[in-house]
Amino acid sequence: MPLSERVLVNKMLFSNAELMPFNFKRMANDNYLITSVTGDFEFISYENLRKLIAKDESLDIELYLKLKSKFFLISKNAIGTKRALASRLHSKKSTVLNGPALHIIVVTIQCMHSCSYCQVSRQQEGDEFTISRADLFLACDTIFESTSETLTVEFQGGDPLIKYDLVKVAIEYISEKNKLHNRLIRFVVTTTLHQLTSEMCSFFKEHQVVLSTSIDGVADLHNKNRPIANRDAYERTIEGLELARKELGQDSVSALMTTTRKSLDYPHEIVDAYVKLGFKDIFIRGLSDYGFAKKNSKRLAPSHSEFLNFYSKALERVLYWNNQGYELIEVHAAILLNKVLSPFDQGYIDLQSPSGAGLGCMVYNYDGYVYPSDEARMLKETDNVSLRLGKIGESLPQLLSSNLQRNIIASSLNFNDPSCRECAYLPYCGPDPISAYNEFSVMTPPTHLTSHCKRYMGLFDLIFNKYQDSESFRKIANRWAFSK
Amino acid sequence: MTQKLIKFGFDFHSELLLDEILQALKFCPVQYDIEKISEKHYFFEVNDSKEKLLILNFINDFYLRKELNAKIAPEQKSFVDAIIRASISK
Repeated sequence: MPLSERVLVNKMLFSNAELMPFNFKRMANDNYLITSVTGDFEFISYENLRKLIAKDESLDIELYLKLKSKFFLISKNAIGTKRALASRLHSKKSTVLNGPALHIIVVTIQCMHSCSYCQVSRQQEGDEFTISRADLFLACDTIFESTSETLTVEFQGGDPLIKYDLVKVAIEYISEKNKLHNRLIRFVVTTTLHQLTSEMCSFFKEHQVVLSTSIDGVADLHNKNRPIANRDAYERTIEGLELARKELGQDSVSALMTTTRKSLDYPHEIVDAYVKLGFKDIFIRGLSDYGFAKKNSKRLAPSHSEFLNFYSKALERVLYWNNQGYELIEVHAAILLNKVLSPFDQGYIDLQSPSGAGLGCMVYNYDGYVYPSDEARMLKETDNVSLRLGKIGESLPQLLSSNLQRNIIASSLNFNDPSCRECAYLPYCGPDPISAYNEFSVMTPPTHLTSHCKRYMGLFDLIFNKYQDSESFRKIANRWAFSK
Repeated sequence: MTQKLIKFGFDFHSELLLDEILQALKFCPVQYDIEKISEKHYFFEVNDSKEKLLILNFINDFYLRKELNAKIAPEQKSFVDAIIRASISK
């Protein structure tokens, strides 16, 4: 199209278009990431960003149309587009607003390990560290009060298999009750696998229970991080893994690792260990300094930049294996990519606005109380009980309308938050009031000062820079975003 | 005993108030000190020239954000505000 005609067309288009609110961020190569209200994004040059803001008629028409389709611009009185925009936003928020889908039952905090970074568990003896049967059944009843069609019931500890009888009776009770309710229920047991037996496997097979465990990578590192009396924690977990795979199938166990200072020198070795063990995914996590772990966090926890540096190297190694033909998903990246690339949110609790604590997750603790998240119950172990929603047995609507729950919601609305409002990652993220409370003793400190913000700012930067720069990463990213 | 005698940094002349500069640098991942020399004249203490560039980029983006906010029609702002609120109410 000749220049004069192009300018004329652009003039017509722009005269009928208005800018929508959006955020931007300068990326490593000086291009800008721009994100719209719906979470659609584009990488554009500084020059084009200026043109967009100025509604400059010399902006390339293809770019103009692309930006319009992504809700950066809107035609005046475009009712259809506004409906589409509202529908996109509603889809994104629907997961967290459908009612709590994740129900964690902390059966016991007894555990044979004495990990220095564990938030809750020690080798406690006695009934006070285990949930009562009465509370267990009440918790199972409350789960069905959720309006969510799909429910995940996760048994946690300590090591819940130390109290296998309670896990078994809860699964049987829930399964029986579900004959009336007809929900889609997924059972998860988070365990060291040390106590796993063939008998347990048969029961888990019958009820399609999946297992989740912790493997910190190489044996030496795992055994240092997770000491037990015989110093063979890794070997015993691997024995349990092999048994589970034999009885329940190759993909019956998922594993995650915790990054401590001791892990920092081994990003490749840790990823390679997961490949050697035949895992199809790896979840590279930082250390959560809640509960007991807070006391040791200065010694154990890497700084934000140390963790990001480690994460970046580990992710590179994961990508290396994918390029070699071994399909390995890094779960942390996959969660972020789902938020960025999919119109539907998988509901990862930590990255919701309003917060997923309570709205998406309920924790029924061994102490007879209900907490809004796993992290909230961890604070209890250092005698901070301020994050209790109520007692087990109170109705779900009662728990969800408690003052604490209202505070959590009000403290996690990113569009109200002075820091988040200007952030390019606003559509994918949100303040975490539980983490903020743990760090600052208030739920609403300046969000940009929180560890949660620093961690996810770094991770989103890494993912977006990689997405912009690498064609092969884009291909993998599009697979990972829709992997679960 | 050691004493730091030389400050590495750069002069910065701007219409921005100190509060606005701090706001502009909210997400800037650089350790810096800022000193107000006089009206519209500041001194940034930094470690190297890359940090100077990063600080200036953040301040430039702050201006750009102000410009963008001024260009968005109030009715579009209130429309977005309304649908965000609607999307989280149930």
